[in-house]
Amino acid sequence: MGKAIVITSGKGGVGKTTTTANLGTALALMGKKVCLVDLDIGLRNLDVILGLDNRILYDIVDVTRGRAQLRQALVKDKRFDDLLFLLPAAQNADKDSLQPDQVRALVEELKPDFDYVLLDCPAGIEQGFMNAIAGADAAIIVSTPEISAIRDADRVVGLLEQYPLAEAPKLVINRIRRRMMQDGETMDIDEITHHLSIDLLGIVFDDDAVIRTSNNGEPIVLDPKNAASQGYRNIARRLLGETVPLMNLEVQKPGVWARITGIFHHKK
Amino acid sequence: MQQSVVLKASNDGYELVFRQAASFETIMVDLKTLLDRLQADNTTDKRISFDMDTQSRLLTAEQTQRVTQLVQRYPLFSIHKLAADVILAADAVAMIERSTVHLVNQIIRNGQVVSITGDVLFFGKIHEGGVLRATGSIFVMGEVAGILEAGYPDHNDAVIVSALATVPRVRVGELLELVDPDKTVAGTNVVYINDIQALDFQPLNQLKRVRPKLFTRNGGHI
Repeated sequence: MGKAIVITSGKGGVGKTTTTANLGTALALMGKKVCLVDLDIGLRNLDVILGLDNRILYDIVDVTRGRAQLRQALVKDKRFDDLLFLLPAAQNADKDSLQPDQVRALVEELKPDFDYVLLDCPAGIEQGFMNAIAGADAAIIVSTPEISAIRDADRVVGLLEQYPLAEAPKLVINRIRRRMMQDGETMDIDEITHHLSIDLLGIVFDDDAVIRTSNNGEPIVLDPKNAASQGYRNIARRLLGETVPLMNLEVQKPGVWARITGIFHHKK
Repeated sequence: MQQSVVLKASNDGYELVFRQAASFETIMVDLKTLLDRLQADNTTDKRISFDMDTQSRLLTAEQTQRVTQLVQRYPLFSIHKLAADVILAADAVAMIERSTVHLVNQIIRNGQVVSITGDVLFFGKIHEGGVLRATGSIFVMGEVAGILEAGYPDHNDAVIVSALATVPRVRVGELLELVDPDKTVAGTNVVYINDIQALDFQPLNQLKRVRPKLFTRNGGHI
C-alpha cells in the first residue's frame, strides 16, 4: 500500500508543482513507483514541467465523471521503466468539478498500485486545497524564505491542524538564495523552521537551471550535479527514511585550480 | 396532609417554600388556596412581596410564567424573588469556566482564532495573523505577534497583561485599537478601559490600582 503526500503552500509561485515533479522523478530514479496527481483544475502545469503535455488523452475530471477509466487517463513517463505516471488535471473544467470524496476515492484506488502518490495542490485554501488534502496521508509544505510565503505556510499549517492527516506536515524551503540568506537579507533556515514549528524535510537552492530545464520538460533532478537537483534528491532520500545532512549554505569561493582553469576557459 | 406550599415569615418579609416532593400542579392549587386565604385575612392595604423558594426544583419558563400570572391576579401581592437551591449542570460548568484561569500553551497560527471562556494565562506563541480571544482577562507569558482580545465581546472590566512591542492590535471589551508605541510602556503593559471609557496602557505595577478586584478572590492562602 502506497503513501499519498500532498504538496501544498497556500501562496502561489513558491514551487509546488516544480517540487512535485522533481520529487516524483527523484523517487522514480530510486526505483519507487510513483503517481503524480495534478489537482490544479483549470491551470494545469505539472504535465508541462514533466514534458508530458502532448500525451494527455483523458484527465482527472474525465475519470470522476465516468468518461474514462483511471488506467486510461494515467500518462506514463517513458523515461522511466513503468515507474512514473501522471494523472493530469482538467483544463476546461470548473474549479468545483471535483469534490473531496471523489479525490479520496481516486487516491485510494491508486495507492495499492504505487509506492507514492504525490498530490499537487493548487494555490489558495479553497475548494482545490480541500480536495488535495482529502486524500492525503501526509503533507509537504513548500515555502520560500519570503515573509509572505511563510505567513501563508503558517496559515496552511493551521488549517492542517484543523483537518489533521495521519502524519504531521513537513517543511521544504525552496528557492533559497544563498548569498541573501548568508547576508541576513532573508530569514535563515533555522528561523523559518523555528517560526513555523514543524519538521524540516529539506532545502532547495534557487537555480536558473530549474527554470531552463522545466521549460524543456525535463525536471532538474535528472541532472545529478546541479545543486537544486541534489536538494530534491536529498528530500526524496529522507522520505525513504534515510538520514541525510542538510546541504551547506555557504557559497564556495572558487579554489586556486578552478581559478586557473577559469582563466584558460576565459581565454578560449 | 402536608401542604405543598408553606408560608414562612422572616425579618425580610414573607417566604413561600414549594415543597420538593409535591407535584407542580398540586403546588399551583395549594398556592392559589393560600393566596386566597391571605387576601381574605389581609385587612390592611399593605402590599406584600414574596420570596419564593422552589428548593431542589428548577421551574421551566412556562411554569415560572404560570406562577407569575397567578400572583398578578392579587393586586396586593407581588414576587420579590423566585429562586431554587439548584442550577443546571450546564450553567454550573459555564460558571466554573468563567471563573477559572485557563492555562493555554499552543501555537496560534495565521488565520486561527482561539476563543476561551474565562481568563487565560498564555504560555504559547501567537503568530502574525493569529487571534487569542477570551471572555475574561488575558495574561501573557509567551510570545505574541498576533492579536489579543480580552473581555470579548463586551466585558469592559477585563484586562490584558502583556508585552506589546510585537502586538499590532488589542481589544478590551468593546474597544479595539492599533497599538501605538508612543502610548505603551516598555516591558509588560496593562491594557484596560479607564474611567473615561478609553483604552489605557499602564506599567505592570499599576495592575492592582487599576483592577483591585482581580486580587480580592478568596482562597489560595496558606
